[in-house]
Amino acid sequence: MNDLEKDVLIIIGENVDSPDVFTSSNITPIRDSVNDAIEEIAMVSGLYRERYSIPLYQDQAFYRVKFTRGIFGFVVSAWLRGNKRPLDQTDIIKLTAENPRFLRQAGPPREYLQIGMDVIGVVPKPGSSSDILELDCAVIPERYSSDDDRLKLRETFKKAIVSYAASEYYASRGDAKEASMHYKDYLDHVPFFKDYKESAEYTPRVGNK
Amino acid sequence: MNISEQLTKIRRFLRDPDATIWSNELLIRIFNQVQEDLQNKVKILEDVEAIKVPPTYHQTYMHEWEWAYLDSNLSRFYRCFQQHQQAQHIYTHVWEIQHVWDIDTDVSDTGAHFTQPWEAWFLTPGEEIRIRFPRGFHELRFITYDSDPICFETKKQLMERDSQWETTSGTPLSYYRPDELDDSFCLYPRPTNSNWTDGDGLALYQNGDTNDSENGVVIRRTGTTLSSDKGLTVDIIDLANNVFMVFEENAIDLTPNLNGTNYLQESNFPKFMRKYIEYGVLAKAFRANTDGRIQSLADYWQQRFDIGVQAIKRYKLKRKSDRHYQLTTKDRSVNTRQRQHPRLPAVYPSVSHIRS
Repeated sequence: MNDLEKDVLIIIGENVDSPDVFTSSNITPIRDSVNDAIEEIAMVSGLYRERYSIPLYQDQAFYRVKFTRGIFGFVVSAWLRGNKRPLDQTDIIKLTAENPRFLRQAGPPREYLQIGMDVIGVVPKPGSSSDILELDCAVIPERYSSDDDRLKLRETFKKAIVSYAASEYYASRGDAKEASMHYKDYLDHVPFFKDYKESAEYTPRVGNK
Repeated sequence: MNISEQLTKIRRFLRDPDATIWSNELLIRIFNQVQEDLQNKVKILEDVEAIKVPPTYHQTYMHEWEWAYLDSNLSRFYRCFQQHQQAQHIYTHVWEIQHVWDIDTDVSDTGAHFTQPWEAWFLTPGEEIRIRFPRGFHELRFITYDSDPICFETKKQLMERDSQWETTSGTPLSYYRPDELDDSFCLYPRPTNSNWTDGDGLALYQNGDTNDSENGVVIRRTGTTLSSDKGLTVDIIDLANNVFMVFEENAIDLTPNLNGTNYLQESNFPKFMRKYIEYGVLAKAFRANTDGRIQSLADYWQQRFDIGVQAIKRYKLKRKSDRHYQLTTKDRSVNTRQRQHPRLPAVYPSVSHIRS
């Protein structure tokens, strides 16, 4: 078991060196909870990102994208490699308001849109099969299954993950009160309703206006 | 993560691994309710589909009693011809009804009738050509034919405008819905071009595709896939001479064989959102009037489900973070901040202070 799972066992009162219930072969409930928490944090924060390249085909505007590692979350930015410029995000409502026949246009794409969970469209549709669209995507990391798998998670959220798993353990034991307390701890430590403050990256300046 | 795995996890939290209190049937019914409820709240399920014209169907039937004998593993069924509502028989041409009532005069029919819609491209059809919406269709967001948008019209509007509405052909400009139960639509005018690639009948695939031996033709082309060394698998959706639509999906009900087999169905929610359905199931299960009713746990899991709904809404907002614009309505002022007084330097006293 990894460090997170050991922390959970400590919280719930198990002996980490010789656990009674959650042995290495029976760690699935704890592991499921940790994985669920990692997925939830990744979903609401978009902290884990990967770059995916889509070769554009002539006259093909929509692409259903399948990720082999992890699950596609959303696009953070799009870059047209050959033309060396970014694409703006748009949506169906804006496209139909500006030009209902947008699917007829062909040329170097200027905008992209995401439909559903795995479809990316580019507008105008590519006039030739000569470019690659690079998407910087927020990805839901794949669930880890062995002790040595990497946890794609910031250190800041590890305590929150432990609280999440402890909460589910107590819920599985029927103790709703204890479960609620640990879940509240989890909510206090994750950026559920607030973004990562990029303003924290700026150094303050002092002086006259 | 199929329904079997999800039920195992749900039972772990219910502490009922042997289905002593909550049966699989109950849990799956609750599951279907919760995922529908979740979709109504967050509207996250959306899809695109290119529908081939002419449409293809798995099986054709005439009488309603045949419905029970259709293959349950298939989904696209076409009801051909018309039921004579005053009798039990099926008729093809309208003059047959007159003969049933011993009327000698024949009213002229508008064209030929068929058992499969693709036959309409070989003759002048005398009936509307129904195209099925995709499975799970709920609401349309955007629809085109051959890359040009088409609008919705009612059948009544077409009838008032065009006496030949059943047979008019050309480039489709609109669509109408014959009824809502069948989840199908008809293009108007009937498209004259089809998506066939050879002259031997109906070919719905191009080089590189493979036929489905059970269904005879490829219902939906999945397109070209890159090899693994190129890094990414894509599914290319073709738009030429097809109907293309963006639509909101329903959560598809899971109907596993409750006699112990076929628990491999999966919800159409993304895998990382299925846990929220489990929370909703747990809340309802603990609230159900059974021996396992525990109000505190029902409240706990309901709280988890509600927070999950907020998390999904948060996720939907994050998807729009790369935009440089904001959609609004004309009723809402773009400038939400209304300044009633000019901005004065901070050293000035406030206006209210001066007035007092």
